[in-house]
Amino acid sequence: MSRFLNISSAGLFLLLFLLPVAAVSLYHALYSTDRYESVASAIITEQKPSATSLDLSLIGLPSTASDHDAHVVEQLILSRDMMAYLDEKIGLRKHLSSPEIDYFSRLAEDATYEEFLELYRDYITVDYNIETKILTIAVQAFERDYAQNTLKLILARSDEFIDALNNRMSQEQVRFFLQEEKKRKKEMLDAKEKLLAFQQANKIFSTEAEAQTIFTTIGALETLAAQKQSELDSRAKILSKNSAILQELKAQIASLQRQITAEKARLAGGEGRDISEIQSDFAAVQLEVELATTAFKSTLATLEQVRVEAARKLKFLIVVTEPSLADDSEFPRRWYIVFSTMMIALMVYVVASLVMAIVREHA
Amino acid sequence: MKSALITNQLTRGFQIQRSVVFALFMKEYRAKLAGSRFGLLWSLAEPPAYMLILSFVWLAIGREEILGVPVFLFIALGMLALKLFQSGINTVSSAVRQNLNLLDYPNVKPIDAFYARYMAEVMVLAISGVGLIGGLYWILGYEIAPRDVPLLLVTIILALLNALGLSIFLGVYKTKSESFQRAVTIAAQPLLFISAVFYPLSIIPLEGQYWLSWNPIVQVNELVRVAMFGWTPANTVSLEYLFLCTLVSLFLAYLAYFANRFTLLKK
Repeated sequence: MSRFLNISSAGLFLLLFLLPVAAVSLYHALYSTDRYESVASAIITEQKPSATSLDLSLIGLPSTASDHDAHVVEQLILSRDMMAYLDEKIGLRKHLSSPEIDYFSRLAEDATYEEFLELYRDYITVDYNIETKILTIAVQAFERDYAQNTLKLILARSDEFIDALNNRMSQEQVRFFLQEEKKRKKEMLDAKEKLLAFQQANKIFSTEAEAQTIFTTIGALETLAAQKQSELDSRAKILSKNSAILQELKAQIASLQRQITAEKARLAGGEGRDISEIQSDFAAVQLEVELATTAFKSTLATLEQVRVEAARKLKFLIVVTEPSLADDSEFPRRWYIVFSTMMIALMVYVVASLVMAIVREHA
Repeated sequence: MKSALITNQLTRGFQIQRSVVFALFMKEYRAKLAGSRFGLLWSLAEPPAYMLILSFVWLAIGREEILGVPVFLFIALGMLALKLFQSGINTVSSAVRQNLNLLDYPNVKPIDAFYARYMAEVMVLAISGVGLIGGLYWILGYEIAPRDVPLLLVTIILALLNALGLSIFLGVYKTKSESFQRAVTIAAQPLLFISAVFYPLSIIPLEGQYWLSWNPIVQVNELVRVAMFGWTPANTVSLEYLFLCTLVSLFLAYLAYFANRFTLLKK
């Protein structure tokens, strides 16, 4: 115990204040390597849906949809994948473990992937402002060009990622309706095929036209029959019953009546396929065609709508400020670090010396 | 020569302070026992009781897990951190006021009363905490496996020191001023709600997270969750901030105590 306590207050000051402050100051004054920072900002846009049911931003709550995308991008930038990509493209590991960099900031030659990731995350900051929806990305590197290039690659990669996301989203949404459209189109063509086959089999273009013709024929025949009948009636008063003219007229009327009956049989009933039967079959086939056409039309309209909707949901990463090229090294922030070290060391020293003073007062 | 004198003083002072604090600690302990028949039992049962009550809020809405962690375990851990700070703010800081007669002895300094009561409170809390967590482990069969033991230990140590600093600092001014004491009691009321005890910080909107994160108890709770369950810490949660909080609280505590150590005893 006494060995531990064998320390004067000057010694305490030296150990707890001067030594750490001097060490940190010397390290930063003489040894630490400059880091250059490149900053860029971007926003992720998304066309708002045409009608919002409930706009929460009105009452001060932020709408979360675009926040979500920004956080996705943030996660992407700080991810292992992004680091691996940067390492592959511009040799990030080699840059960070360059022997020109001071020992404490350098990545060790045999550093694990986890250590690499930790350092990577130390040197990249992603800030998202909820109010302005601006994503600010800052990259620190030991060369100014390198920082800028890294940031450019990061932005390009994020852009690619958003595009890929868009593609997949819209494809997924449209795919179902594309299939549906194909199916409906086939159904419609099939129905039309059937109608054509029916028309050819029954040698008619339209049952309605056929029926019309028969009606006209019956009408004409009935008019003629009526004329003959009235002629017969008027002649019968003058001529004898057995006269040749009357006999001929009677024969003509009978023949006309037979013809009318035959025509009526063609229209409905009688032997063989009459026109009313064909008419009902024809209507069924025609209805099928009509239904298939309507279904196809509405599917087509929906597909268009979905396409528009998908396009409306597309997101874009828009770079607001391009990656900057640092003119001067801002990191490490030497004055800030030295000053904080001084403050912390001072507080540690004061606490330690006061605790000891209080102990001594008990004696 | 001078250095030897100081060393001598330190050694002797340390021995005296140790025995004084120990004696006061035993007195605190006996007071807890003697206060009522179940005095100690009540102090031990407080955290589990709080845990049950707060857990029912979640259980009532049909949630048995909070982000994959059983509600009981989640709230038990938060409760322990809160209780540490609460007993620091309310109980430990009144130690001098309630031990004034003992402070007439020249060897007994006001800070010894703080130390002793702090130790008594921490001990009760530790026993109760071990019992609580042990109970959850043995009876309910929860998996208690910290993912990051060093972080957990560092967080606990910082929390303990932070609570100590806070209780000494508040204790000095609470002893000096009655109105300050009342003000602190009122100000500490909403602590339960702003300390992320019964909810994870991440369910709060970002802006709220920012403001809540100034509270060191939130930091302790979130860091314990990071260490215990392997959660990803929020942007505003950091061990460095907790360390700074602790350091500042100790710094202010000892400065305040040292500046007022003689006036504290004036009745």
